[in-house]
Amino acid sequence: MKRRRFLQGAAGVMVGLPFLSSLVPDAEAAPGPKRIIFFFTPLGTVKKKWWPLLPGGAEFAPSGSTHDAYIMNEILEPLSGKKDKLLILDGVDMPSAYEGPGDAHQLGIGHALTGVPLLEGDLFQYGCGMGTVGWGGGQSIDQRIAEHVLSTDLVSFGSLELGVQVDGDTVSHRINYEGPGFPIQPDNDPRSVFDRVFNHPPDFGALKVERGHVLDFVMDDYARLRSRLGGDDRYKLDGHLASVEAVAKRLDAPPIVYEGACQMPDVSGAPDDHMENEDMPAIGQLQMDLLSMAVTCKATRVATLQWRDCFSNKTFPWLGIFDGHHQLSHTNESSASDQAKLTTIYRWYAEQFAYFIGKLDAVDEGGVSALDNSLVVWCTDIAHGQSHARLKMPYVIAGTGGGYLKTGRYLDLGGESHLNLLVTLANAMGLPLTSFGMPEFCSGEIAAIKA
Amino acid sequence: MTRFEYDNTVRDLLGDDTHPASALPPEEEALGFNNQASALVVSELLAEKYLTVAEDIARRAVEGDKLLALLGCDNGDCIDSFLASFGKRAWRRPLAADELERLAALYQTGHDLDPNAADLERVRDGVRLVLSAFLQSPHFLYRPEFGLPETEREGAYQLGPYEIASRLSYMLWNSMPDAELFAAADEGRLGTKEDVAREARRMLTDARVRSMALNFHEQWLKLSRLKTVTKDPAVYPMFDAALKHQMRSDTLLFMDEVLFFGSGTVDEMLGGLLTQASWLTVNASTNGSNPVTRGKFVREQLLCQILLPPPAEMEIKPPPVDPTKTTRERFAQHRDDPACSVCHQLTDLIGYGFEHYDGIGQWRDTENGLPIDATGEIVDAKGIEGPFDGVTELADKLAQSPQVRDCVVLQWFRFGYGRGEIEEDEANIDDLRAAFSDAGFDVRELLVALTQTDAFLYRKPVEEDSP
Repeated sequence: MKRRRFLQGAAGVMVGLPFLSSLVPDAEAAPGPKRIIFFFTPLGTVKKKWWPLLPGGAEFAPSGSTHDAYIMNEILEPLSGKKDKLLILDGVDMPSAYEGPGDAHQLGIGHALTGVPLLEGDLFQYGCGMGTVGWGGGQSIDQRIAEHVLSTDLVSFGSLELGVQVDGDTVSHRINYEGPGFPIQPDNDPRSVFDRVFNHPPDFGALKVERGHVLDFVMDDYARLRSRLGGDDRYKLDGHLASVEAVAKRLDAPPIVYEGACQMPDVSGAPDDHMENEDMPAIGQLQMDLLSMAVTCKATRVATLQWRDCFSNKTFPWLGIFDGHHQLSHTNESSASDQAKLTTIYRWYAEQFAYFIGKLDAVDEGGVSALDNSLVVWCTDIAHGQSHARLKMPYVIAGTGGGYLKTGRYLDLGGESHLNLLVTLANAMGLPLTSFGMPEFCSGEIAAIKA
Repeated sequence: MTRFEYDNTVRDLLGDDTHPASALPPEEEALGFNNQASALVVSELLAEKYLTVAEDIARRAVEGDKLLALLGCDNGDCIDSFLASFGKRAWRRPLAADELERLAALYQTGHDLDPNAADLERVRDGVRLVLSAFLQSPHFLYRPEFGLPETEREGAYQLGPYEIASRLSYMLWNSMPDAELFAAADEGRLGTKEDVAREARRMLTDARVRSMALNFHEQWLKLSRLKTVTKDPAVYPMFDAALKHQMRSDTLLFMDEVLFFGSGTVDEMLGGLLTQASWLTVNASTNGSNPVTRGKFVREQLLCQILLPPPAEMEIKPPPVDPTKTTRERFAQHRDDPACSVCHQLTDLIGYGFEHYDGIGQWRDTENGLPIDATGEIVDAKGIEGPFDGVTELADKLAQSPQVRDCVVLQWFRFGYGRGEIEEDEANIDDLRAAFSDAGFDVRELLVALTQTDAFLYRKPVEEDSP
């Protein structure tokens, strides 16, 4: 379990903060740091409607096609205007997701960002299958990157995990992990996200001092108690203490400076019930607005946006689809009408992805956009609903991570391990890793996608 | 502590009934329950929410006249006695000298924050900070247990009186101990099994046990899914939020009725449960009934049987709605195809018993103009195998099933103890089954029996420094 150092006490808090607004000469042209955002949608895609096409639309484009040599297929069509900023990747396998316990979905979502076997245990039954399993077995890459960012930057939030109607709290619903057995739940509520990131009361200075004192006391309590415990209990309390430390450390983070592209968002129109099926589009848009602004305002540089979950049987009434998504995903290609419904769903997700990257692309950071400085990684749990295969996973990456990746191409990576992709992304974010997850499935960066 | 437990505790501790825990994120869920200790973790999000919620509770608790009522005096003179007496209730045990010192120092810090404020306001600030800290401490949010080493027996320690008091109150009330329980702990009246049973029986007469039981049933029977289940509006245009709400209330009232005004037995419960609109709705398709999901529920949640998965390459899709057939006829392939029936006989043959109830639990005599056939058969369930016709007969059979009775024991074990059963629990579970049987399968007696096991009264010593 990693430990985050926390700044002792409230004294000396204001010393050395680099973000006094008078020092920033021209807010609009200020260069931006790198960010990475994982954009998770469940249950894969319909490859035949996802693979790019040769102009004319009769054949699939071959691997290596540059963006001016292919046109988008139905599902990714909403992203046509940003082809030059995208890497469309097929042929990435998740071999680690065939190791260790878990049903296909638990393996898919559990390994997506961790790459290590899930823990053995009795906590969870397989959703489709016979067996039991515990939580994910390791720290997820986003948290690893967040630690690195926190060690070099006074950023408010090491990472943010947002959800759109993630409806469940088991191993089948979690993609981010602090460490083994330590899942991070997404915040599904836009009002809560707003309060946490943006909504600071006018007397925040006094509140911060009080909080510092209370949290000092509380952390002392945890430290004293954990030393009297052992094993799992101590581990659990250590996790709690680390969480309180992170909250305490955030008291010293620089406040958001609202100028230029960074403006306080407005959540006053948020639907009352953030889990109401019909309101998913509105909730999704609010979460994307909040996240893109958090990233623009540099309140965080690492984030995950999770759309629903693998077992979701929620419907898409605004698309005229009243079948549950999970149920539909199990249909096979012989059912044209069901495949059409799935295509419609994934195309809608592509519209959301387009909206999100569009927001980032509109932010000027000294001649390049916030999107150019970022990596927005669209990932999923399985490639294909019916087979539950965790092979040939569809990825779309938007942004170059400050010039680290070479976008504007469609590539079939022919069986590259997803852990190599995660290593490449970490390196792009300035964290020099040569391996991540199960070492037998990780050989290092993928040169083919680098600039 | 779960959100439900948090709200109850804060209500009992401070009289705050505003449900502050609704601001907390949902708990991790394992074994179908949200209180399984080994699955619960505190992320940064939750830690932050514990902070803001505690601040709000603290602010409300010292507002206006409440400060005086809480503190017992209007200046700093009674702080030490307040910290000791309130602290004992907040952390559910007498506080140690060093804890009281640290709390007094925090009070002083709060008191000194604004030297220009009026005296009473300075006292208010001090108490507010202390309350906020009390509510975020591990001694509030967790139930640390160490046991009494001097009572060592076969490698286990008896739990101390305050530890037993907390186990009793959180298991039976999902809340903190009351004054009676504290007194019993103070006076050494929780040391024997008989002592514990006496308190448990007293606690069963308190209204809090009813809300605990409703919490249990809502999770065991997965009624929370009612909130998010969707139906095809073309088929069920009347299915709206108001109807869902009504369904839920009806079921909770029914549970309450059986458990606290009726016999409290499994028999009485099953008959009504399996015809609840809420349950029938959650276990159905978006556009109709579903014998597979209903049968699966009976197998997994009532018989505690685990079902084999469908083969990986199989297409799992309910047959499309066909206006010339009944649901039973549409699912014919599950019966006729031996590749399917080997598994589906376990679920569908039970699920057919519910066919008089459509996808939102409405009674029907016909479907698409064809008569309903609600005959079914139970296979592979000791002692109750054989045919039946309709839900009433099915419920009667299930009520006689030793597997259902054992399943009820197991579910209460997991929920009551906040953990799954392990090998060493075999003797405990045998004892529980025997007690349940002796009591005619009265759930209320099962609750008392849960306080009488070694699992409840003893614990292994805490191993310091183990990895």
